[in-house]
Amino acid sequence: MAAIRDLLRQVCGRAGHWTEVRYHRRQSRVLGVRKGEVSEMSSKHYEGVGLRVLIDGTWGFASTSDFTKQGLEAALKAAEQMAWQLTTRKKEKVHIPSTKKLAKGEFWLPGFEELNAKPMEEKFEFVRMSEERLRKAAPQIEAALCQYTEVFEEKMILTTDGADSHLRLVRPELRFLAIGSDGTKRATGYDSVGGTGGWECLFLNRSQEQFIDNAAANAVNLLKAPQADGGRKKVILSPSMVGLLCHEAIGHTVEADFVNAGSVAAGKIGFEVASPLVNLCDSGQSEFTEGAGGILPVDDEGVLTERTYIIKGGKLASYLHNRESAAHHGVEPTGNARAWEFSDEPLIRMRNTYIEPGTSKLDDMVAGIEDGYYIDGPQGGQADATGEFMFGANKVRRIRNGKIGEYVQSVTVSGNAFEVLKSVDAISKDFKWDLGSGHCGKGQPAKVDAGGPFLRCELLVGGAQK
Amino acid sequence: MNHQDILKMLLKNSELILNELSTKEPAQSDVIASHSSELRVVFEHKDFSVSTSNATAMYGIRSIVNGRLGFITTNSNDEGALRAAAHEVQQVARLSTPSPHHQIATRPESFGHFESVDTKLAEFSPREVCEYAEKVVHEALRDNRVSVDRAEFSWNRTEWVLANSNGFTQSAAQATCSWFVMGMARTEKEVTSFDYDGGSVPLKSEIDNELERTISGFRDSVVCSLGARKGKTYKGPVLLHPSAVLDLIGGFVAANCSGLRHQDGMSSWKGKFRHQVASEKLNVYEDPLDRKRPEGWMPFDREGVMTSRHNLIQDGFLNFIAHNCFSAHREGVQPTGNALGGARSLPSLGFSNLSVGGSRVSQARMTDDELVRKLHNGLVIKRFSGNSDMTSGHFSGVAKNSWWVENGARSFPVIEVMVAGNLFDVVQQILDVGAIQHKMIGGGMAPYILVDGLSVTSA
Repeated sequence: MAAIRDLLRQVCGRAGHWTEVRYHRRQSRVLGVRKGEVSEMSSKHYEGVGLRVLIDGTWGFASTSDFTKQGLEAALKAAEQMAWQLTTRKKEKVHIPSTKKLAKGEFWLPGFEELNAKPMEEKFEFVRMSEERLRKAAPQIEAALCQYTEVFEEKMILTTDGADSHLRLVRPELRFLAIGSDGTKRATGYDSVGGTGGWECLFLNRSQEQFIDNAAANAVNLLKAPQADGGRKKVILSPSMVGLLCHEAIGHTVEADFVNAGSVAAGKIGFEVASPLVNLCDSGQSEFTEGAGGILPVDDEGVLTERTYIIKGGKLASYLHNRESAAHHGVEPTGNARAWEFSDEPLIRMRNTYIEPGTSKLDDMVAGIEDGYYIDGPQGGQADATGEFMFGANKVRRIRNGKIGEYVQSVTVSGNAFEVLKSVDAISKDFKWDLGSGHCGKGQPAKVDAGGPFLRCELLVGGAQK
Repeated sequence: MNHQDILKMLLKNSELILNELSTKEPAQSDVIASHSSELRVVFEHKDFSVSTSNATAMYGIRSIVNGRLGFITTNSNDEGALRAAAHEVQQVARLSTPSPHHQIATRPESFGHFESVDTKLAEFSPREVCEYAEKVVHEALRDNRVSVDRAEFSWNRTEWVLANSNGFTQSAAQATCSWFVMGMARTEKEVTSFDYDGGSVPLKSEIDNELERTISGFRDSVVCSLGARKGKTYKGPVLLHPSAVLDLIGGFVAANCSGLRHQDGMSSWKGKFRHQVASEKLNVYEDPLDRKRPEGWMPFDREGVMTSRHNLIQDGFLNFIAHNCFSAHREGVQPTGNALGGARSLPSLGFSNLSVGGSRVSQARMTDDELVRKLHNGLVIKRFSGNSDMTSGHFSGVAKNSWWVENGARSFPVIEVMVAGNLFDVVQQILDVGAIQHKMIGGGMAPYILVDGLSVTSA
C-alpha cells in the first residue's frame, strides 16, 4: 500500500492542474443458501485508480487497473484529453476553492481486521443453519434463502490542493427470505440488516432467532391478509419507513445537483417545509446508536464528512454538497461526494439519513388514530424532483379505534414529501437504524443507511377499490 | 489495443486460468473473461459536467470441486494474480456443501466466435462522443419547457470469452452507441414528474434516426405531463402504455417462466406447463439473437450454451420454462441458453430482448388511438413506479407521466394516482392488444394493452 500511495503522490504532484487521484480496492464475499443448496459461495476483488482532472473549468475522468507509473500516466492523459474535448462546450466553468475540510491521515474504522479474521467456515455455518431453521419455521414455509455479504473497502484519496487520506472500513449484511404457500396463494416474507463494523453490528437490533421469526411471520401473515382500503390515511411509520421517507422523499430533493436542476427544495433554505417537530439530518457518522450502514469519515473528494442538518425545527437548513456545488452555493462542502467503484466519478449521494427522536410514546401515538395503518417493512421507493414520492411496505397492519389490528397485503404509499412532513403531529422517543442492507441507485449504487423514531403523519395509501 | 488484440489477451488468460485449475484437483470449471472500453459524456442540468474514458477487464472463475461450488471475480490482468485467483476459487469451493446439481455446460455441437462490430464503431473518438452528446441535449431542449436533469451519450465496445473445462471456448465482440436522457417539463407555475428515455444501436448509420425518435418521445412525454391534476377513484379498465406493459406484464411473465423459481416454490405457474395461464390474446417471447436490439444481443449464454428465440406465452398458454445448468440438472432436462450475467457474478436465469404482443387469437388490429377510444373513460398508465411481488402477483404503485381519457379522447395528465391489483388476474383480464409494437429503452418491445380490474385511487 505504501508503494502505491507514493506512486499516487508522484502522479498527483506532476499534474499541471487540479487533479484528484483515488485508489480503491474492494473485496467482497457472498455466502448464500437457498432451499438447502449453496446458491452462492464467492469472493470478488476489484482494484484500480480513478483520476479526475479540472482543466479550464471542465472535468475529465479516466480509470485504470494498471498500477505501473506508465499505466497511471496514460490514464491521466486520457482524463486530460476528455476534459480538453469538453472545454469549448462547457458554459459555466467550475471553480474549486480551497477548504479546511480536506482529510489527511489514516481513517481506519473498527471491525475490518476482526471480520476478516473470523473463519469463513463459521460464517457459512451460520448461513446454512439460518436457512434450514427459516425453512422449518412454519408448516406454510415452502422455501427459504439466507445470504451473508461482507464488503471490505480500502481507499486512498489525494488531491493537488492537499487531501491525502487512507480509509478502511467493512460493511457486513444479512438477508432472510421465506416463501410461504397455503396451497393456492403464495407470499414472500423478508428481513435484513446491514451495518458498518464487525460481525456484532449485525445483531444490535435483532438476534438470529428474531430475523428468522420475522421473515417467517411476514410470509405467513401475508397469506391470509386482505387487501388494504386505499385512500388518504393517518399512519404510524416505523423507523425503517421513516428512514425511507427521509432518504427517498426528502434526501434526494436536497442533493445540490437536483436542487440546481430545479427540485422542489430549490430556493427554500430558511423556509418552513415541515412540522416544527422535525429535525432531519444526513451524517457520515452514526448518531444515537452505533453501526449505521452508511458511515463514511471521508468522502470521495477527500473531504471530511459531518452531520448536516437538512431540516431544523421544521425549516430547511442545508442542501447536500460536493465541492463543486458548495462553491456554486457559496458554502462549505458537506462531504457528500461518493463514487461506487474506482471507475466511477464522484456524485452527490446521501450517507445515513434520519429524523431525530422526539418526546412521544408509541402507544399514545397509536391511541390517537381512529382509522389508519401501522406501516413497516420497506420495499424500496422512488421520488420525483417535485417531492412526490412512492414507497412500498409489506408489514402493514390496520389501526382501528386506537389499537393495532390485523395485517393487510403489501401497499404502496405516496404523497408530497414536504406536505407529509408538515402533517407530522407526533414523533416517538425511540431511534433505530434500519435500512442498512439497502443501496441507493442514482446511476451508480451507494451504500446508505437511514432510520429514526416512530412518526405519525398523513399520506396516501394505495389499495383495493370495490 | 484493438478488439482483436484484446480478444487474444482474454483467450490467453482464460486458458491460463483453466490450465492452472486443471493442475490442482479434478474439477469442473468455466471462466468468463470480458473487457469493456467506454467513452462517455454527461450533461447535467444546464451544462456539460464530465467526460470519461474507462477500459476494464474482468474475470469470473467458477470451479466445482466434488460438487462443491466456488466463484471468484478479479479485474487484474496480471498473470500471477490470475494464478492466485485460480488457487483461491478452489479454496472457496472447499468451504461449500456438495450438491450434484452444480454443473457447467457440456460441449455443444458447434461453438465459435460471434461479432457485432460495425467497422465505423470499432473505434470512436472523444470528439465524436461530445458531438453526439450535444445532439442528445439539443434534441431534448427543442421545447423550451423541457428541463434536462441528466443526459448521457456513450460509446462502448465489449469483448468476452467463455472457456469451459469440458473442452470448448466461445467468444464474442460487440460495439454500440447508447444514450439516455432524464428530466421534466417546467413552467413558472409547475414542475412535472420526471421521465426518461434512451436507446442503443449497433450501427453508426442508425444513431441519428433512433436518437431523434427516442428523445422526441421523452420530450413529448414530459411536456404532455404539464397541467396535471388529480384523477378519479374507480375499479375497472386501464390502458397500459408499452412501457408499463413491459414493466408489469413482461416482468411478471419472465419471473414466472423461470425454472429456478418453479423449483423454489416461488411461482404459482409451477406444474402448469402447456396449460392456459393468461388471456388467449397474449403472446410473450424473447429473441437474444436480434442484433437490432443490442441491449439483449447474446449469441451464447453466460455458461456458453447457444441461445435461440423462445415463445414464453403463446395464445395464453405457458409454452416455455427457462433453465440454466443448475436448474436443468435439478429438473433432469437440458439447459435452455438462459443463463445471464457477466464476470462479476455467478450465472443467474433470465431472458433477453423480451417482447410482448398480440396472439393470432387476439387479431391485434387496433391502433393506439382506437384503444384509447375503446377505454372511453379511465386511466392510461405510462410509467409504473411501485412494487410488484412476482410470487403473490400483488402490485401497487403510482402512475407517472400518465393521463386521463374522457369520452374516448386524451383529456388531462394526472398526478397522485395510485394503482393496485394482482398480476395473475391482469394477464387473464386482457381486453385488447394493440397492433403496433413499440421499442422501449432497454430493448424490450410491446404494444398498448387494455386490461380490466385494476384499482385506481386518486388523492
